[in-house]
Amino acid sequence: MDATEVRQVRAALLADPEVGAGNVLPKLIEHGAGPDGPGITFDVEVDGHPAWAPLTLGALRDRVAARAAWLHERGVRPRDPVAVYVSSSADCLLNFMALTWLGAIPALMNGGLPGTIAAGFIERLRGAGLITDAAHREILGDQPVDVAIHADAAEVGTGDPARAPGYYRHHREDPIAITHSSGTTRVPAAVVHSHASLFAAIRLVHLESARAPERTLCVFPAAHAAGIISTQLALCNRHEHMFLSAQGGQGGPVGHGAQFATSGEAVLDAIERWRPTGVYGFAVTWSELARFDLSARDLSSVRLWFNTGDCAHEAHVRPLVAAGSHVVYTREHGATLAPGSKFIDGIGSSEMGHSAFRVVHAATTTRYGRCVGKPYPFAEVVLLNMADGTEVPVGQVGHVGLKSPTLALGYWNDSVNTYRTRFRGYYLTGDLMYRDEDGFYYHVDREIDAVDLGGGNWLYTSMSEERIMMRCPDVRDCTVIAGRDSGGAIVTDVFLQLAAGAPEDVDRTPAVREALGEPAAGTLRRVVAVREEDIVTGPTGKVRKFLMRERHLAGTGAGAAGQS
Amino acid sequence: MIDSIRQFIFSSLREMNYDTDGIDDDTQLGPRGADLASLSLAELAVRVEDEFGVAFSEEEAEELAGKTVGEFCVIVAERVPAPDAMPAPDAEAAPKAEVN
Repeated sequence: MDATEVRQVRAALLADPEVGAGNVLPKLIEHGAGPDGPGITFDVEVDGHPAWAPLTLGALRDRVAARAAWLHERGVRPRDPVAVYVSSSADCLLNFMALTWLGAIPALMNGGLPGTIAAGFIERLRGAGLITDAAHREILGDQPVDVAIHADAAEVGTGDPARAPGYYRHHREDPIAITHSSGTTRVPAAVVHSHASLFAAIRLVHLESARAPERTLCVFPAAHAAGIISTQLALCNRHEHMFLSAQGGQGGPVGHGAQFATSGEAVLDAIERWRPTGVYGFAVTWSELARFDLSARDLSSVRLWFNTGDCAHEAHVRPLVAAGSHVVYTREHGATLAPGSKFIDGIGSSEMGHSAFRVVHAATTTRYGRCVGKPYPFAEVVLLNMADGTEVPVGQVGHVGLKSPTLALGYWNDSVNTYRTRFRGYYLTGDLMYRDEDGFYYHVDREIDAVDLGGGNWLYTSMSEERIMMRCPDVRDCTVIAGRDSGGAIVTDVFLQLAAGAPEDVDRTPAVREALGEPAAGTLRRVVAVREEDIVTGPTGKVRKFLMRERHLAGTGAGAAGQS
Repeated sequence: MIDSIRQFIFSSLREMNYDTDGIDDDTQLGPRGADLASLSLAELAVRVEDEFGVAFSEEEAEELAGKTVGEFCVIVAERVPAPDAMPAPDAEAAPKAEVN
């Protein structure tokens, strides 16, 4: 990619206030990005274009225009909500771009959502249309879907690009996408993003950052805010962008930890094939990569790993930053590459729109312990005492309140939750954090998972997991759930997913007790080595602790802690 | 001190094949100014660290693109060890750590 063109295009995008998440593609072309430059590369065939063969920007525009034409001819109009329930990243992202071309509102659904949940989501959307692939029509089965247009994703691409109408001209507050939070047994919250909000971090941070000839491998689920932002970021920066489908592939049925059982291998294969400089993923990807000896694979192209969603575990980050490469400079040899990469951890959520914090890990850094770093300059963060609305002092845990131009507009067709999550002008993220005297923030738990032990003591499940994994190197991942059993006593169950070859008969209870510390250790009921199938996850791989509490804490089982 | 830092930055940029005509204290290092590519910015930071005995955190290195040449000079100058904190002359004989 010509450096002068990249510079000019980035500068033009920055200078154009109309650029937003709804019109990146036409604005790139308007501002001089050449049609032969990079578009997106998919791991599936697109309208006869082979998998893994890069789509140029011009080809991408044609494939999107074909879909825009087809949908327009079937009656899709501005402000029509249209659900997209598909498997491949191509079907998801191309339809997203086509629908925003028309000013419609794509409601992107994770392909891993179970059929009954998906039907509920579509019903609550009260949408005008639905786009599905064959696999998801089968998953939906004969459940009634009340939409005027139900399109086959394979057919939408057969439209004539020349017949696409002119681009919709978005206002900054226009809704341009609906994404959803994790959902396994309940209909997930539908989060509405605006033209400006989903582009704010690209405008305020990424287009202001140094130009880099990156090749990115995206392992985010395409249907989520992170999938949209990372793709638009790559397009604006003129990066070569490869987007894997379904986070590297689903190896088992959705809804539990085995869903991603083969994804680690798929991601490593993709890195060796695509040779990315940057790899983007959610926490489940790093957990799955922890199954492998990374030194046995060629990851030398990778200089950066980027995580968002949940905070990543130190035990998963350290092997990654030991792999890959970074620039060193010596007087004798000039700039050369040396082993070791960076890992940027950016805790975020659909509602936050983009991560609000970031911390950079490298082989030489030591700031872990669920440190999420400092807020981005665009984010205003307060840690609140919800009892009186005041900010908690340094070192005390508070509820995260966020003001940010990246924030979602609210929940679609759900004013109750839109307003319930607002407090004194801040969006309540549902996270509990403290900050230290140097201004670094530490995530201890999700509000709904933490348990009050009385006397000012709390059990923080996420922080406990971090500590357990650091004390037990042969534990690949771990889930702590705490709550009241049927007898009313607070109990804590610890589920360990062991690394390959780790002995199951070792009693790890003493190490877990030590990790929990007192008084939380006193609530420990059992430490269990489990299989992936025993961990309840949502479609993005996020552990659903609410469901695990329901499943496991009901019994009294108040016996002594023991590993079974 | 500022002058010698500025001079070093300019000579480094020239060695890195950047045209320094039109670059002054008010020029940003990133896309709004000199438009240093990411790897070049990393290289410049390491050259400055090596020359002046200063260090930047990973987060600071990420944010250099938004700094002007003048701001970068000030940041470096504030970190250069004070003369009385410099190693004694005989310490010069000690071997320098090598970056492999």
